[in-house]
Amino acid sequence: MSFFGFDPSGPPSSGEKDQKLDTLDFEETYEGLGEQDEDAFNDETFGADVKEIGTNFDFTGGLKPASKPQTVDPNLSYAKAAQVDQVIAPMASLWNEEAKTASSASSQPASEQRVLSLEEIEAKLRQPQQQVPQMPQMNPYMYQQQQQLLVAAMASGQFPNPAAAAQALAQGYFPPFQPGVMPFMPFQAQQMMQQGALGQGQQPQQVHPPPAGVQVPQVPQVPQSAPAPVQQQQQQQPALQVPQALQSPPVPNAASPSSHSAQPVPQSVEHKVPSSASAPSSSAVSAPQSVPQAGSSDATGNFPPLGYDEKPRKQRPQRQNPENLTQEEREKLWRRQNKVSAIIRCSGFMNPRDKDFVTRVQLSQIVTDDPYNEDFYCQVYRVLNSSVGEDDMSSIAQKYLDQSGHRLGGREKRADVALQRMQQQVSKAVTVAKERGERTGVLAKEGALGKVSVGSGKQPRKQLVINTTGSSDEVVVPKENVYSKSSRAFQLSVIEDIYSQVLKLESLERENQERDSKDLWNALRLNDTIETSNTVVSPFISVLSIDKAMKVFNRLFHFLNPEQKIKLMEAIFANLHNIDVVMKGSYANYVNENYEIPKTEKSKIELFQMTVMKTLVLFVSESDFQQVLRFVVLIVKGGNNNVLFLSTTKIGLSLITILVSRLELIKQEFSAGLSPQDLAQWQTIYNHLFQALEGRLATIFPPYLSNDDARKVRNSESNSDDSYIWQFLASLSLAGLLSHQRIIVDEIRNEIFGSMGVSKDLKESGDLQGAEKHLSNLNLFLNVMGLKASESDITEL
Amino acid sequence: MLFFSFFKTLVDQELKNDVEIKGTLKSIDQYLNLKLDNISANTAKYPHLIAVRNLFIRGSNIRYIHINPSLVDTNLLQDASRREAMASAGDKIGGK
Repeated sequence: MSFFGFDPSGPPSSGEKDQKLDTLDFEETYEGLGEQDEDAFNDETFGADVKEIGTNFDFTGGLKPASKPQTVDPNLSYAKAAQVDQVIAPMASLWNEEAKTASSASSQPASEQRVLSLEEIEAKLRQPQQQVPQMPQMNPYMYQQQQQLLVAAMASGQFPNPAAAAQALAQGYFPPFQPGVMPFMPFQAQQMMQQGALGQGQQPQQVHPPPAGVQVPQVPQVPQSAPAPVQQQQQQQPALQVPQALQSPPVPNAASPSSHSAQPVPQSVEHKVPSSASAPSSSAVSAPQSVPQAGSSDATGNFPPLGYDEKPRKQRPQRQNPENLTQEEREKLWRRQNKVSAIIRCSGFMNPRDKDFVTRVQLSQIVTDDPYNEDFYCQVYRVLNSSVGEDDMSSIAQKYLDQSGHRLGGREKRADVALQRMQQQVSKAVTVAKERGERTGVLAKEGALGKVSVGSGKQPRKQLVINTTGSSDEVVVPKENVYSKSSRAFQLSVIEDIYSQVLKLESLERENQERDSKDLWNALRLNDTIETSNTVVSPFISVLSIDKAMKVFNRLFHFLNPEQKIKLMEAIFANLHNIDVVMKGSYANYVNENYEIPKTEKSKIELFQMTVMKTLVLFVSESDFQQVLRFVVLIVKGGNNNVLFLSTTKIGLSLITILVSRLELIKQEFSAGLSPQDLAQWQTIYNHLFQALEGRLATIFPPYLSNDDARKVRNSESNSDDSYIWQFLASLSLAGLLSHQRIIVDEIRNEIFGSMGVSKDLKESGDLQGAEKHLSNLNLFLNVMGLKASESDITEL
Repeated sequence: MLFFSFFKTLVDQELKNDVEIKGTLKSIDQYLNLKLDNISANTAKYPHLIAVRNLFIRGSNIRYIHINPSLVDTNLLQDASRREAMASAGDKIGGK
C-alpha cells in the first residue's frame, strides 16, 4: 500500500518503458528564471494560455514523456479546467446546460485521447485491472460496509490513486464519478442535485442527444432507474413540493442489504473503464453491459451507492398518487418528510463498528485490568456496602448503558442484547488495557521548550515531571529529608511502612496466597530503639499512640505468626507505661487542671480501647496460664511505682484487671491442668502486685470519680462510668486471700460508703436508674466477698 | 483515578465553583466531570440558574466539593491512596 494512495512504481505506462530516461542536471532545468523581471508564471497562475510549462512541474523524473503534461489541451486554461472540475462533471450532466458545457469541455481532452498509441491504450486497459485488487488494502475499513464499499469501488476503483486519476484526466478521461468526492457525499446531496435538476423542470439527460463525451455511459442509466417515472410526474406538477420531500431516503446507508459483494463491483469498474476510456463512441453500448454485473443492484446502473436501490421499493406506494392527496395531507406528508430528512441527515455517519470503536475508547477510560490498584476505594467500598457481590463486567456494562442512554439494541426491547454487547465491549476494553500494560504511563518528552507530557484519563498529566534517569545507586537524601529518629516524621514513616506491608499481606490474603510476615515484623522495628522525651523505647511503642497506628494494630496483628504475636504482646506489656496514650491518660498529670484530661487525650484513650486493647484482650482470653502470668510479671517487674502509676490510668487498670481475671478464671475452671509451681508462682506475683498497691489503693479512684469526701473533685468527667475501677477491685480481691480482701475493703471504705450515699441521694431525687447503676458497680466488688450493698446497708449474700 | 474511584461511590454532594451549587450527584467520569440533579444555587446572585434543574459541569471548573462526611469511608480512602502511592512509587501490589 502506498502512502496516500500514491503509486510509487510510477505511472504504469508499459509503452513508455523503452523510452530513454532523460536525466536532467541543474543547468538544464535552470532557465534563468531568476533573472527575468516579471513573474514568469503569472499567466499560468491566472489562467492565461499556457504554451510551455517545461520540465518544472515534471515530477516523474523524466520517466513520463515530455509530451504527457501537455496532453491537456494547450488552449484549455487552468481556470477552465477548474470549471470542469471532477466534482461537478457527472452531476452537472443532470442539467442540460451544464451538461453541455461539461461535455464540451471534456470533449476536447477526449479528442486528444485518440492520439494515444495502441500500446498506451493497452496500458490503460491493464491499469485498472491490476489496481483494483489492491483496493481492499487501500482502505479496508470501507470494505466492511456495503455502501462505502460500493462508493469506494466506484470512485477509487477507477482511480486507485491520485496519480492515475490525474493522468486519466490529462488524457481526457472524465470519470463518471469522482474519486474522493463520492464516498463522502451524503446521499441527500445526490438527491439535492437530482432535485435541483428536476426543479428546473428539465427532463433527465436521455432527452438530449448524448454528447460525445465520456459521461455518456452513465447518462442513459439515470432514466433507467426507478425514480425516472416519478421525476416525470414531478414535472407535471412543478409547484408541488411533496415528491421532492418524498425523495429523501427513508433509510440511510446503514440499512443497505448485504447482497452486494466486493467482487462484482470491481468487475463492473473494470469493464467500464476500458469502455469509456478507450472507445468513447461505443460507450453507450458498453455501459449497459456493465450494469448487470454491478452486483445485485437493479437498474441503478452506475448509481449503486448509498441504498439507492432501496429507495424505489420503499417509496413507491407513497408516490403512486401524490395528486390524489389533499392539500392538507400533502402538507402533512411534506412536513413529516422534512422532519425525517432532518433527523436522518446526520444519521448513519457511523456504522456499528465505528460506534463499537468509540464505545470501546470510552470504556477503556473507565475499565481497568487492575481495579484493585486503580479503583481500590470503589471496589472495596462496594464489597463492604453491598450484600451481593456483583459481577464487575456486567455492572460496568449496565451502568454504562443506563447512564449513556445507549441503545445498542435499537428501538426494539432488546436490552439484554445491548447489555451483552456492552459486556463484550467491556471485556474487549479490559483486554486492550491489559495489552497496553505498563506502557500507559505518562509520557514525557523533553524538548527545546521544556517537557511535554501526555497524560491519560487514568493518569492525568503531572504538573511536575521528575526526571528519574539520573538516579544512581547512591541515593542522596536531601538534608531536609533526613529526620531524627525522635521526630514525628520518622514516626509517621514507620507507620506508613507498616501500612504498606499490611496492604501487601492483605492483598495476598484476598488472593489466597502464601504469606510471609517477615517483612511486616521488620517494619515494626521492635528491636530498634529511639529516644523519646522520657525514655528509650522501640519505634513501634513510640508510634502506638498515633491514631493511624492504633487503627492498623488489629490488621497487622492478624498477620503475625504466634511467636511474633507473643513477642509483640510482651513488648507492649513491658512498655505499657511508656506508651504515650497510657501515660497521658493518668489523672496524676492534670492536678493543676482540676484533673481534667484533655479532650484529645480522651478521644485517643477511647480509640486505644477500641483498637489495640480489643486485640490484646482477645489474645489474652485465648492465652494459657503461663503466658498470661508472664505478662503480669512484665508489668510487676516495672517496679512498684510502675504498677501504681498504671493503676491511675484507665487503660493500665483495665489491662491489669483483664490479666488477673484471666488467671483466676483458668485457675478456677482448669485447675487440674495447672502445676503447683504455676500456682505458687502466681501467688508470689500477686503478692508483689498487691504490695505495690497496698496503702495507696484509694488512689486508683480518680478524684473526679471518687465519692470519698476527702478526695473528691468534680469536673466534666465525674458522671462517667466508674465500673472499670470496681472491676479491678473485684478481680484483685478474687485472686487474693481473705487477708488481702480485708485490706482492700479497709482502704477503700470511704469509697464504698460514698458510693452508697450517692446512690441514696439519686434515689431520693428520683433518679432510680442512676442509683441502681452505682449500686450494681459497687456490688461487682462486694459480691466477690459474699457481700451485698443497698442504699443504706451492706449485708451478706 | 483515586478521586474518580472515590466519587463513584457518592450519592449526595454539594459543589462549588465560582457559583455555589448544591445538588445530587448523578454521574461522574474520569475527568471528574459531574452531572448534578435537582440543583439549587444562590439564585438571587445568579438568576440565570433559576430555570436550571440539572447540570453538567466540566471537572476542571470545580474548585471545591463538599461532601457529607458520613458517606466517606476515611480508612478505606486512606488505604486506597496508600495503594496508589505505592503503585506510583514502583512498589505496586500485584494482587487484589
